[in-house]
Amino acid sequence: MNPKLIASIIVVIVIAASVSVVYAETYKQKVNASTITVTDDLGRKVPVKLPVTRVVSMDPSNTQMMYSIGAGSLLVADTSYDWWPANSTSLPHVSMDSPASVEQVVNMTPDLVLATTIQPAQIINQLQNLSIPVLVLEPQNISNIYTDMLTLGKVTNHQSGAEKEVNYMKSYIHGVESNVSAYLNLTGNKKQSLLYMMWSTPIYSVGPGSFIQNVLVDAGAYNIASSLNSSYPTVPLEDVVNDNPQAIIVDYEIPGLTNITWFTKGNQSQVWNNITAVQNDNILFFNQTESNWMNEPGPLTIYAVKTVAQFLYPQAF
Amino acid sequence: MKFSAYIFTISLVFLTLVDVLVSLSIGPVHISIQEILENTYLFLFHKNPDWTISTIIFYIRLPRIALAIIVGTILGISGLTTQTIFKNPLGDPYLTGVSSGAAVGAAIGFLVSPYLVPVLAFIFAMLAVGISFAISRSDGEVNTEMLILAGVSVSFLFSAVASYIIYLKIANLRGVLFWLLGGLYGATWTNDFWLFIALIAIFPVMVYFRRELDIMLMGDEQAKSLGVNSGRVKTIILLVSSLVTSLAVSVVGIIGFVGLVSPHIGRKIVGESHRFLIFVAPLIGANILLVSDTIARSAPQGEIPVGIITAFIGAPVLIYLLFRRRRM
Repeated sequence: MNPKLIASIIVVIVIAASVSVVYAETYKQKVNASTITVTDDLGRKVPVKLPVTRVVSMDPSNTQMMYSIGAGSLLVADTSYDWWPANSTSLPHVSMDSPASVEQVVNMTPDLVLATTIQPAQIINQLQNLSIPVLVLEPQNISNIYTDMLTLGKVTNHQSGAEKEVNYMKSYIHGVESNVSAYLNLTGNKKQSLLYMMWSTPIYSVGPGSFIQNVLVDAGAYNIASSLNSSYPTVPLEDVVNDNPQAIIVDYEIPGLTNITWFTKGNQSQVWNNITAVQNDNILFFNQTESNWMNEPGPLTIYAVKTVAQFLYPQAF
Repeated sequence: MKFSAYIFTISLVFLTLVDVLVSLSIGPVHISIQEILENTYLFLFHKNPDWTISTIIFYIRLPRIALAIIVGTILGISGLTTQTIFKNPLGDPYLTGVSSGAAVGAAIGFLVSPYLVPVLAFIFAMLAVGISFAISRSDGEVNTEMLILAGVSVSFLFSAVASYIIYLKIANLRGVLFWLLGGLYGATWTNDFWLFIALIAIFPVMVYFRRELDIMLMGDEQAKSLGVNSGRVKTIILLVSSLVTSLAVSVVGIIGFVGLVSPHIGRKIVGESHRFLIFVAPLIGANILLVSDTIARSAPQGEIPVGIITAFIGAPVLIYLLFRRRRM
């Protein structure tokens, strides 16, 4: 190749590199002028430029948090899975099916993106590299929901709304918990043993380390799968026989498992027919809303706690 | 050789019995051998056995042990015949498109109704096999070289369809994933019964053709000169083994490695001749799957998909055998 050509290419590259470095530095300084750095649920320190005016939510739970603290009007897009509150469904949608379309998100020109780990790390990094701050809000328990909502309040300048909502949730949960504990104290009963089913064959359940396990515990349940020490264990059928749960909760939309006949007349009915929960017909089949409350950690989680507690201890309410 | 092969075959049968007893006494719920014996007696003579123990033994562990043996046998024998006919040491019972066809069927099944999953898995497995055979037919006979390539192409095509259905989340993702990983957790006596019927229907066919299989090892020319119509025999055996593998897959999902490894272990011990191998390979398959499934269902953190265990056991064994072959 022509040495002159090579030399000029090198010169162009060097100039381009120095220009971009200078540009990036000035940009950084500009950012520093009015940024707040918050820590998200992955432990990442995310600088967010203030004020935040355009937010894209990539998960229904994050959308719900935004609306509940009164910051819903800042949302410019959410997902097609959003259902609460009703006006969240009329926003433009970005795809939540992984991998999300980065183009779609960028097109909304957001100054903040909210996501969960359903989005692959590459997507989050790609957005960060485009100088769009991404907060990963994926609470693992209820007090974690409180901190996340307070964080959102700080970032969106809705502190008082966030504090109000958190206080409401706290008192709601406290009410449920005191009902249950008063009932247990009064009757001297033990906690109800529960099998939580997210799939039928094999039995896929929740254990320590999962969000749902924490909700079940808050509702006063003894989750029989918690002894397996795995966040999402596959429960051996013989464990179910041995622990003989008093109650069963079945998540929404497990194909074929929508009523008690799956237990009493299905393939393994000889086993299930002798389980206390099946004999007493003490099985709760979540409808879609109840399932959403349980699976989307946010302001509506309190209703999941109450639903489970009411199912396990109807006399306490 | 012949004498020791006899002894080995018989001792494999005994090993299977021992494995059954060991497997029966191992599980996530601890039950002592004494309790097993007591409650078996009480159960069999209708004398009020302990409900928990007898349910675990007779409705959970035993049907599952039986299923492991039946499926292991099916995979072992299908693996053996596939390897012999294709003269390919990498042959496994899924080579003609069974597994990816079944995956498409299962994905569609979860979309429509879970009760249709086994039926659709079977139908689509046979569809994939049928397409592979149709592509590789020439002059009324199956060309095995073509069949391998046709099987691979059809597998890719069906896998793509299955992946696309799963990706679209049309089908319930969790269900299809469990199904793809394979597992014997759904074992019931009814499943066992029907698969067992299928197995005893096809086993005599394989045993009947064991001499022809030996001759095929020498090559098609040799077979022809010895008066064996190898084209017809190949077609029959491959169709029968694809059929029974599809049935097994429709019940337990896709369990890898058993069909691949069992014939290799068998050959190392009783040699290439199908006279013994036709019994030994399926027995080894049964033992591998039984031991793997016992580990899979007894894991302290809840069940592990059995395919992971069969690969963990099968891969090192295969590597060991390869090293030995290299040294020889």
